[in-house]
Amino acid sequence: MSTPSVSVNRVLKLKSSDGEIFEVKQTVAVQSGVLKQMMEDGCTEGEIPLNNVDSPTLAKIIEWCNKHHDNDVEGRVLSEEREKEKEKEKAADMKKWESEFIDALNRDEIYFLLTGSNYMDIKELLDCAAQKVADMVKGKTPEAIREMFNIQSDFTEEEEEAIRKENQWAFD
Amino acid sequence: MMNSGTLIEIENNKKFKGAGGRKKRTKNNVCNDSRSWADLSVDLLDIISNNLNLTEILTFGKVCRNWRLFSLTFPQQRALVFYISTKAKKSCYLFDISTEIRYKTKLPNFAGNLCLGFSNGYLIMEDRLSNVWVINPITAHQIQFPPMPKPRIAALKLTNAASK
Repeated sequence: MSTPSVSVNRVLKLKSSDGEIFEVKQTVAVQSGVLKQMMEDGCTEGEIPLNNVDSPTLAKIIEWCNKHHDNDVEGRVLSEEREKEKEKEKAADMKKWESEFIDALNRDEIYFLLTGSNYMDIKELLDCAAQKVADMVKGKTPEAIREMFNIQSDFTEEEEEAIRKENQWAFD
Repeated sequence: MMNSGTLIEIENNKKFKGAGGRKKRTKNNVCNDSRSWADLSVDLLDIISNNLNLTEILTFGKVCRNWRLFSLTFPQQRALVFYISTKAKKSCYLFDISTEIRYKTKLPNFAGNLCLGFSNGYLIMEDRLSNVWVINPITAHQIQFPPMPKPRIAALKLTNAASK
């Protein structure tokens, strides 16, 4: 990938919605589509305000990006013969790390991670968070889903009744 | 007339939402933290639903209005094929090309009726008494129309073609 304006030693200063400053290496920050674009446009001087991401979420996002960056860097040092084998191993390790990372989060943290990664355009993290939400929903009744996400039903009584009567699709 | 879906009502609400929503707002202000799950944007709901199958998405759509609106657009987003046999009693089948999963359901008043076409997610059906009705195979919402004036078939075909 050619991103001429990205240098190894330079850092970006990210400012969370609650005013905390986080320093992130440019080489790590390229995982965010938004930050990558800003670097390419050369507008990363000073603090970069991320108005939709609070500090606990931003800390999580940076933890994720650092982990994935380190994993990539390590990959380049390996010899070619062992690379394939190692790649597989590493991918499995990363999957494990990812699921532990996401499983440790509570409902609200997952929500903010989902919206935060979407806002910062970090595709892998977004997919991981979305998968987690899908896994949480699977096999549950609408009532159980509402309870899990603290959602109040905003259907009218008639609509609720109609929904209950709706036809069922089953696997054939 | 069966009034199961209330699709039209929901569609109306969609328009309302653009103008600031109605009772949802007040609810939002009450519970501050997790209320937002119900208000997830369409692109996020879309990414989440990529990991769900049809039955799961239909359950998903029974949680709240916003999720329901999204779930009803699902048939337009995925490549789905309907199987309807003229000999079938009531069952029809749906094949999701992307996941290669086949689903089965029964639709009310389906037996022996003629399918004239498919438009905007609704099957256009004609029964033996020449009543015309449209039915949403996902929600089973259906609307019946009075018999068409003759020559009705020609008129129907024209309608169907124009909507595609």
